[in-house]
Amino acid sequence: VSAMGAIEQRVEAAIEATERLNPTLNAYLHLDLEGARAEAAEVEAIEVARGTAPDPRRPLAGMPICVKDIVDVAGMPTTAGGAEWVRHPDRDATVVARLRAAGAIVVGKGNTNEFACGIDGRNPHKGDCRNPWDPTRLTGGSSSGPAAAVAGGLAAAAIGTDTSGSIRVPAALCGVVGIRPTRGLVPADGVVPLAWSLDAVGPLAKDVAGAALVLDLMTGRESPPPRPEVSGMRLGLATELLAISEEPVAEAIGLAVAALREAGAEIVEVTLPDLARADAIHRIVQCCEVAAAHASWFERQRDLYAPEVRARIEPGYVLGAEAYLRAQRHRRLFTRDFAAAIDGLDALIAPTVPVLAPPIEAEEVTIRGERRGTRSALLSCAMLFSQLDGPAVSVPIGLREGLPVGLQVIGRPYAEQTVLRVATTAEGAAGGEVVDRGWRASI
Amino acid sequence: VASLASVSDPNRPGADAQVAAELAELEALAAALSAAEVDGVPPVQGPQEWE
Repeated sequence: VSAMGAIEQRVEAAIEATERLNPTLNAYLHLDLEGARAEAAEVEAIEVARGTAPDPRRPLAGMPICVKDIVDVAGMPTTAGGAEWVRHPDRDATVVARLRAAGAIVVGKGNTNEFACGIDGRNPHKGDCRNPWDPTRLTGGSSSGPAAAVAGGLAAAAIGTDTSGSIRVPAALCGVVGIRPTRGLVPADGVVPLAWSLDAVGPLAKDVAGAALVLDLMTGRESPPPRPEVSGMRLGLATELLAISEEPVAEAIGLAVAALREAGAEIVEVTLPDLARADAIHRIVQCCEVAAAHASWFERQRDLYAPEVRARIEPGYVLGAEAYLRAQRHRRLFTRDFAAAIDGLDALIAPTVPVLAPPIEAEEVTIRGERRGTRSALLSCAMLFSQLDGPAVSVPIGLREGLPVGLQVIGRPYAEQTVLRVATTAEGAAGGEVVDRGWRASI
Repeated sequence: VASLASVSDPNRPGADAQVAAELAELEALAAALSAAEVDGVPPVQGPQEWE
């Protein structure tokens, strides 16, 4: 290792962590470690040839990344976490190509719930993904591998996708930053679709600054690094979501709120529009769109889906266009009502997940004495915001009982800079050394 | 690596029942979304809704 340059050492560190931890975590479904080493040597040679000044066109030079296995990487199989489904792309998805052009190095393909259709990070076909903070706990999903890889040091950043919370929920449970950008901001070609009007592609990274940088490169836009400046901002606090969170989560969120207030933000309690209606709209829209996306495969592989995944697809062939369009019309009303609820506010804050990472086998969790299905609980603070098309970020604010807590910051469409300023102010605000600034410190 | 042995067999009894139960629930949810309330409201189209 001593003969290696800084870039090769950085990639080698991720490879070493992968060799040591992946057998336990199952974060990667496919690895190309030799390819990563060769690319690192190539990038190193380019940087050495340039001299001491880093190439401004390659700000990710040598950044090891994990790519969720529903996103195409040339030369690697895309399995989407399905039983026998596979394709062999000969070109990168645009989002992968953009990060590679910026110097990122793909270590491998990250675990996912089957066809990204799940929120817990379990996969009966490929094996469950395990949480680096405690391998007996769920990672959350569906971007389970990307979150676990970043949290465990198997990658410095990752590409995930979020339809109902699939970037934010695993980011929260694994203690990393996850950004669901404004829908459409990051190209989705070369990505296996789940639900077209809800899907968003976005980054996961160890800290807000790293995630913001990767997001910029994904979008092709250039933004100043987010600064912890919230003075004069008015932030809404979703008190209903705080009320359905277990005590350690609510207590940590309270500390983050206090930190934001201390930094000069005004915190305003907000009542959200009809949450039950939002839940109904989302489930109907997603089911119909997933059914449409899977239409060409469904008959062939109907018996290969895990039953719970089939149950989230097959009803979409029966519900029909009228139910789908009515739900999308109600979604427009919900969007209007939500916009009215946050009128005059810069952003909304809420828990990302109301519980600490549950045990892998837990089918139910208990929150404030009430039992609730694990899937429903994991979705309860994230899913409704997917309908709004604006950005939502989960930022780790601290550890409770040795497990990370995530704060969610939600903004209007294209307000990425605002939500990232709030997120970076709250980062680590509830204590416990949850934020690893290793990558940030190295760039 | 953990497994989901109890649910990993797609042909196990109950798979069709899960589909039927989900369909019934979604149909009830869809029926509860009032058609009159969205009379004249076009479906959502994207981030431009906020403009």
